[in-house]
Amino acid sequence: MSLQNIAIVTDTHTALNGLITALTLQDKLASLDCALSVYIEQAPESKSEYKNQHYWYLVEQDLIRIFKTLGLSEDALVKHCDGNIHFGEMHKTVQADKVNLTQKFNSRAPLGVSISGVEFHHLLVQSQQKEQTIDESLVSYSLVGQLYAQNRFMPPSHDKRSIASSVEYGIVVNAKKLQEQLTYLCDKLGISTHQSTDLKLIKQSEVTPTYSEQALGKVNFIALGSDGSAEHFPVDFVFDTRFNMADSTKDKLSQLTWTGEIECKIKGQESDGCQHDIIKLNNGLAQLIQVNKQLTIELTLRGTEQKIKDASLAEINTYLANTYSLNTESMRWQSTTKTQNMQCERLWSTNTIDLASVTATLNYLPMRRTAISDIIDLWLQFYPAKFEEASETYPILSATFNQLALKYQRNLGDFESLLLLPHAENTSKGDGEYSKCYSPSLLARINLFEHTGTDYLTEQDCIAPHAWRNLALAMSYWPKNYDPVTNNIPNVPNIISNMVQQIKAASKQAPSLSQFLSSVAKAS
Amino acid sequence: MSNTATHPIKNIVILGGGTAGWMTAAALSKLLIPHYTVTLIESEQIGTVGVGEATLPHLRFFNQRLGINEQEFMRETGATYKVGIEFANWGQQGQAYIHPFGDYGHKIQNIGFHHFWLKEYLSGRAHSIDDYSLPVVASLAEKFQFPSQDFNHVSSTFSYAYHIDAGRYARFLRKFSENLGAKRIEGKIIDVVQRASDGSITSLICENGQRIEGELFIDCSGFRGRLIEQVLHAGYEDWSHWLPCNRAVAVACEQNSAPLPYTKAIARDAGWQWRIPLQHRLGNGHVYCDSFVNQDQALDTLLQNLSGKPITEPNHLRFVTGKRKKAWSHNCVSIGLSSGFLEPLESTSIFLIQANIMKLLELMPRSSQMAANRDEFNRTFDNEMDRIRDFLILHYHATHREDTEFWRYCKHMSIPHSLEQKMALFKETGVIETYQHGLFLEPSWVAVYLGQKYFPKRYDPRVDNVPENTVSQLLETIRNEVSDYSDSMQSHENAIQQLLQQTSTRVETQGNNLYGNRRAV
Repeated sequence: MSLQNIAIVTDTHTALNGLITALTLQDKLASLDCALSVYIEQAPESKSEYKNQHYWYLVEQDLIRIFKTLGLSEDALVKHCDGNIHFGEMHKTVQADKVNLTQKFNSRAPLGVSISGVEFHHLLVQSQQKEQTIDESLVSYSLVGQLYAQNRFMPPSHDKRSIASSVEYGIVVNAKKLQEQLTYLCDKLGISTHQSTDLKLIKQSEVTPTYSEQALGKVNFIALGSDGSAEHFPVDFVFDTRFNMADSTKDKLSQLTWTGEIECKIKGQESDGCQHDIIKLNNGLAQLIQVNKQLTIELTLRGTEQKIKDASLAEINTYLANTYSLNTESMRWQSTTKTQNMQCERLWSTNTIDLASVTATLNYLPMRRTAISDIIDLWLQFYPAKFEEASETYPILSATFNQLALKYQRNLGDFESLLLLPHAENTSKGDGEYSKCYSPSLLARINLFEHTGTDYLTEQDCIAPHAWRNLALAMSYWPKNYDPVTNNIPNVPNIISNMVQQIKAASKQAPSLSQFLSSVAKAS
Repeated sequence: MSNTATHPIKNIVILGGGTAGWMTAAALSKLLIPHYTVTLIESEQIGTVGVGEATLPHLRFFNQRLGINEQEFMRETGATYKVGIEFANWGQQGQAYIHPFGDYGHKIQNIGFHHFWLKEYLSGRAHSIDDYSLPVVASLAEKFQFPSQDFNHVSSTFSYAYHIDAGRYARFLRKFSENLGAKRIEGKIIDVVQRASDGSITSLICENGQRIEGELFIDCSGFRGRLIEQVLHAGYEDWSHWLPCNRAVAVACEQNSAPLPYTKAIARDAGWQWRIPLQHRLGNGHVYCDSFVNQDQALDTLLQNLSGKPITEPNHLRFVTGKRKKAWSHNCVSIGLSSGFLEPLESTSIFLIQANIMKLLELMPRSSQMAANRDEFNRTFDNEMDRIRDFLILHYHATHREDTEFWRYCKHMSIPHSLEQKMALFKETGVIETYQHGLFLEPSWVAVYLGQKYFPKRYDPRVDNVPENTVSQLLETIRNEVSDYSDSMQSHENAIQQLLQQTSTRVETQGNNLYGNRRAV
């Protein structure tokens, strides 16, 4: 029997992820007769999560497409959510002398084009080794780099022969306004939304014996009222975006964990009195799942019990904000999403997908992908029928899904580490400790790139090879060697210089970004 | 000399001149000379195995990268076109299926075609799944046409490879390489000199005393692994408990009829027989396990099943299925049979040569500090070999045959955990676990599972949301498209005649894809 009711369980803090999940499912299950419902647990003390107007959300191209299909156009996104264009990030690096600062652009688009089967960056490495001048900032080697530098915008061309077809961008929007738009969109599409302070959603498998008598039937979760009464929701499958509730939290492999004075709270959202909402013990180390306020924390990375350094969330926020080309003074990041690189071995257990660990920070970083969308795509490969207790189907589907999802999370975690850790290293005390926190796969990837300039191919890697390459280059991991076939390409300096000229000429055709944004704002 | 001293790499030495040796020499000569020297040492006293005659579509990409003209290549190697492999008697005696270089139907509402077919099959309404695959229908009708680039047309849904005379291909590439500056040395190696500090090879000593120095050595010496194993002791992972065939006998015979556009792999009592149609002859071989049948019986089986008069003496081979534990060790890279052996059931031998050459080029070290290059090469090689191994084992294990001791063993043997998981997933749900970086993807697994009647218990539940008459109509449309287009294709024989008589002006499409251009969902 096919799934008929899918519930998206979320809470005030993660409601935006919940809405995105619902809309992504709406898009991808369009042909199925399947009802979607969003349940939002509302914490009484934080009725208005987005009261601060300065939380931003980066909408990637996969979501832009989904929103467009469902009726929220790109222009509307820009117009109604204070949208701005994201072409990439300029990374600043303090040199060893602690005085000079270099800047490298992490472009969303590939650098140059491949020549005779050789990727363009090899040409740059060869030129540099031959002591020819190259643009260290990398801005000159992609059209989006030039558009970024000149504050211009042009949409990508569909003509693959045109240089304008290389344009890639995301849209940074005001998170509160996006949530409003998505709530409206859900309503328009008939996705039911239930929000109340009385909703306390608990999985059936997690209820205490007191409740289990009431938790009858095949429902996956029950809602507890403020008076302790329970209501069953008839759902076939659940996507849970909350940070704390799934069984699988015990399997989470935290890579950025909290140590210190810890009062363990096993479940629920009780405050422990020191500004954290939820803390879970995991093999003696605790994970900081949610933080409401900024506070100084001591970071232990990758559960190695190796104390890295004191840092504050404010400091981390600064690192992140610096990576953006926008007005950093007005930018803040949601402090509720400070679980870094969390990985979950069992995203799918029984009939629930726990999306918390893939949404922890990723949607607020320029990951080029939307993890929610990727995980839903992966789930669709293993699309289940209705859950049956005795069936062999669910365990086998979920086991394979979880194996692949873990690989996916590792890749995404590596991308995130590469984006954050060298930056943190470069912009702070620079004691070299951060690179020690790389996972073995990230170390192998960087090692390979530094020695050969080649891509490290892994399974379930949704990050495009050029995105890995561009990020590594922007983080100053410059290959020591280049593809030897480069030596047989004649006139490499001319090729590079012609390409730069073409890129520059194309960029000058584009209107200014402000012109573009104001034209969108004026449009009806 | 300290371990940390670096030695720039300028001189590359290839040991062995069979298909692997000359493919390597050709690629390196084309892409690296004059910045490197390429020397190949071979001995006419040492024969080559010379059986890997069935290829995969990727070979076209290799030839394209080298700038080899397809028409010239086919004339020189006596090649025919190939769009799949027919497996007879594998699932059950008397049953056959084709593993095509293409897909079955196309996805409908993003759901794999085979799920829709399974629903029809379970309701008793299905035609054979073969009817929905253009390369299968065309193969059986002995048709061939180049695939088109119109991704929305059925004519783009397949790819093609070649059947070639591997000996001629090696000779063709020898000429090609020598023209580009590769140096060939006739000689037999009697000694290998290693650097005391790290064990790296520094030179090879020939019988006549000639010393050939290099910084990077490519071992293409075949099964024995003259450098990688006999000198560097890289180790070998034995997979014969999963792939028990360990002997082969090869005989060429006359081609008495028009060559078929597909390879045949016919299961026998203790192994299987190949038939590879070339322009000028038919390649035949019998791969078997000597625990179940002796050499004379195996030869007898082969000779009794030839479709023409034998034209060569039987060539007996022994092998142990498995892979080199470190295909790249020290400064020596093994390519071809020296890196491992998987029986030629799915025509992977030449593909693996090509894959290792391309990976080596990508990871070509500039100096003796090559640990990162080596580790990556070995990681990707291991992945590729493991996946191909699992796919090959599937052919033996997903059988219903219990008529001989050999097949009973195969049906009940333990299999790698990775394959066990894949088979259980398919059996329970009809889902095929896919991967991004690997040779055999979903259509290939569908071909073998369904071809060998290894059916799942259910299909994707979303299929039930599509009205039954819509499903029936969609399937009928696909079947008609395939049939109509196949009818319009020229015969394979004509295609070869045209090739020999006319100058081709065709623009070659990308060859690095096993399945052609998948149609839009």
